[in-house]
Amino acid sequence: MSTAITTGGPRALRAEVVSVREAGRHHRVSLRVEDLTGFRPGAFVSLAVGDQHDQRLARRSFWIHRLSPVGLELLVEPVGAAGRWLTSAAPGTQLSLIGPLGRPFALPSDAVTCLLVGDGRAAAPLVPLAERLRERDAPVHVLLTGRDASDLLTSHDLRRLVRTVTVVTNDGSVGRAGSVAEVLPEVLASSGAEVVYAASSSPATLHAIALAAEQHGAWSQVGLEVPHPCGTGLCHGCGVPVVGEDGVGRTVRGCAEGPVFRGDRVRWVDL
Amino acid sequence: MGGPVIPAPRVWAAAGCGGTGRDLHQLGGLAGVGLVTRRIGTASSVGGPMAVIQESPSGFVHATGRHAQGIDGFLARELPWLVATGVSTVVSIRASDLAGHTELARRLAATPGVSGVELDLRHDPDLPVASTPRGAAQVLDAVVSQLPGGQHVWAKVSAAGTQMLETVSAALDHGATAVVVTGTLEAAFGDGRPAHLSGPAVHPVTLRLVGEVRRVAPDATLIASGGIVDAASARQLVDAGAHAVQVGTGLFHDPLLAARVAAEIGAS
Repeated sequence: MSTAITTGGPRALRAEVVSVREAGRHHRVSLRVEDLTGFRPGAFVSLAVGDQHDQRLARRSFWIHRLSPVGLELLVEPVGAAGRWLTSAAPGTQLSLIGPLGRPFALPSDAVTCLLVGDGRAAAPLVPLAERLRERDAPVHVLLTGRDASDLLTSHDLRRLVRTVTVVTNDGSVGRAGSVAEVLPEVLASSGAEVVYAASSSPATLHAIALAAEQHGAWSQVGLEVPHPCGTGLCHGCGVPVVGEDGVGRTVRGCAEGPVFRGDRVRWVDL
Repeated sequence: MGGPVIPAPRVWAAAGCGGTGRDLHQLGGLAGVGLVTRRIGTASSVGGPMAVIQESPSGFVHATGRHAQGIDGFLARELPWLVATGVSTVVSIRASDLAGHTELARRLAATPGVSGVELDLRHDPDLPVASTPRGAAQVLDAVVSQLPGGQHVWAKVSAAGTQMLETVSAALDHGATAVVVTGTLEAAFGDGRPAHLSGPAVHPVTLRLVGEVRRVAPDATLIASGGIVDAASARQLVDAGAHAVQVGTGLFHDPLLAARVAAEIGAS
């Protein structure tokens, strides 16, 4: 046991790559991290990627996909300089990790029916969320979407946690063909969900989910991916336009005041 | 008579790079470090777009955006925590006119717990008031008369102005207690929008400017900012004549950088 005083806030830690395994078009990156405490679903970690001679300085944010016995696991797409570096990192590679960061998904106080909508790699935080909701005896339904079969989150570990899993791919290679917006009203109606949790790298998709939830009379919480230059709230470079409880428009930090927002609080057209 | 007044602490988080202070503090990044706040204006424009920040090789290209924290919100929601936590706080202020600067200084003078103000005299096409030597003198006059003695009045200048040394002299003549010299360069985003470049790429520029200002103002207190990535790069600026340093965009990559620099520089 660590004798350090734990406040549950983020900490700057050292991480070590344990393994990188392909999962469709994404990679599961397992990191050894000591003393990561206070994790809640929807939180993220900020990594300094690249070696010390790399000329790139911005950090990168990744959803915590799950905790593991040695640390945690991330889902990473081998795209861009950071994604390629991380998915090709050899076991034993050391990197700076800060976390857990951000405002996570808020859990309902009662065991209300929940629908979790996950788009591609961004569905990563929904697995630990489903686990927490299950612990609270909340009936959970899942709608997974992606560009094609290789983009979908593997659903076998979700299936044991939830009542139904509906799959939609844009190209129809698995499940139903179409967009999440086309299928959502039907899934909302059949599940009777009172709360919708969603995560996507596409603001347009999240907007559509938030609208559908509102029309159905459900609360929505959306996990928003906007680039975080620092991830720690320092740079004010990840502005998200929102409207406050007082009805006044504000721009807040996507990392520190997010990444999870109430769907009806984001000014989607200004994003 | 006593020579330059060395600011305490000697290492600061630069304006706009330390968040609200809380973010840095909970990671341990403010240990031995003072905070220069992000730019505080007369009125809040928090609905506007925030800063735009893009990485470039060995640097960050950034623009401030229209988003500004107003003095009311700052005094109500941010300063009380800084004071309660014991963070040495210098407030970066900038208004669109002289009356605005006077107003900001007057409000801060009436608020206990602030160590002083930093005036951003760098060239900004949207805020032309301060970016000439004459303008700098007028801004200093508008501010200094409001503040109680013993407070920091820092004038932040950069190589972006064509009359940097004249601006430095004007600011010192009109009551600045220190000059913040920054190697931040005027730059542009890929689409041509104006921006600034900072980060390790500009460290040699900062080094040059510190030397030049040292030469024209040998008795002035100098604070160097721009390109610090470790204790050694901070030490170089101190050796060139800086009495204190500000760590800026380096914090985005490593939020504990200023605290580590403070552990080495601050102790000596």
